Amino acid sequence: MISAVESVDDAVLGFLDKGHTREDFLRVVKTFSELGMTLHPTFVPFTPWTTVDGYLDLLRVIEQQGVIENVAPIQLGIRLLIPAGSRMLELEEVRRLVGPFDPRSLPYPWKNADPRMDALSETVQEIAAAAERQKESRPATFERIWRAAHAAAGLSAPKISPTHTIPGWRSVSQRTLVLLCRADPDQLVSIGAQKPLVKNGRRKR
Amino acid sequence: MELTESFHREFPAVTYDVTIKIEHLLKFEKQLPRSAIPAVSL
Repeated sequence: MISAVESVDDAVLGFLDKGHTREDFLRVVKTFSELGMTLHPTFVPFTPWTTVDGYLDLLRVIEQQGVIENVAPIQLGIRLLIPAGSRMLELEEVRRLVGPFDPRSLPYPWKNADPRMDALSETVQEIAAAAERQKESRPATFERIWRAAHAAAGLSAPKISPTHTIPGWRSVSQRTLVLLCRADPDQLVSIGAQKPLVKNGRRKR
Repeated sequence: MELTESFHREFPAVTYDVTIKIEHLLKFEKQLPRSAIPAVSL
């Protein structure tokens, strides 16, 4: 089961108007663990509001909740995509942040106020792409991202605890069915192969 | 859920992914155990 968590920072979740909080996500993780079900959270870690501390916090949450195996590495390198017509542009703060619309690449370009974050997003995307080519395990890739993020913060990376794995969580396997359905008028449910909606390392909002 | 359970009865070997918002996972929390039906990998 996949859920677009996007962030564990309540301020960022507010900007994204996601309708959930950090605590909501942690509650769902706990519920899934108790039920022995597998949740694959997806994220948009790099936003104009992401700080280096916030990014490290996301990595720590993933580690401490025991979901490293459940997060595709590219999910840790995705930048917020602001296309033409995005509701994000209704926010004055976003309009002040973005540059002129680029008709070639389509989104409105933006840069983080902290240049370390834009550099880190590129580094994480490169790590994820290399890991995909080399079929590297998710824990090994996570550790490389973990080190890169701590290096960006000027910190030495603490060792990742191998004990942070919740019993009952299962790693990713190939999916076979592509199906869309609306199970409830108020509950859009999409069922399909696990292919992140990513283009050039960015997810469309 | 009805469609999912019916499909599972017909094709028990087929697994699938499902994407659900966090707020809906909380809203429909009591239905989650029904999603963990045997032989279906969620």
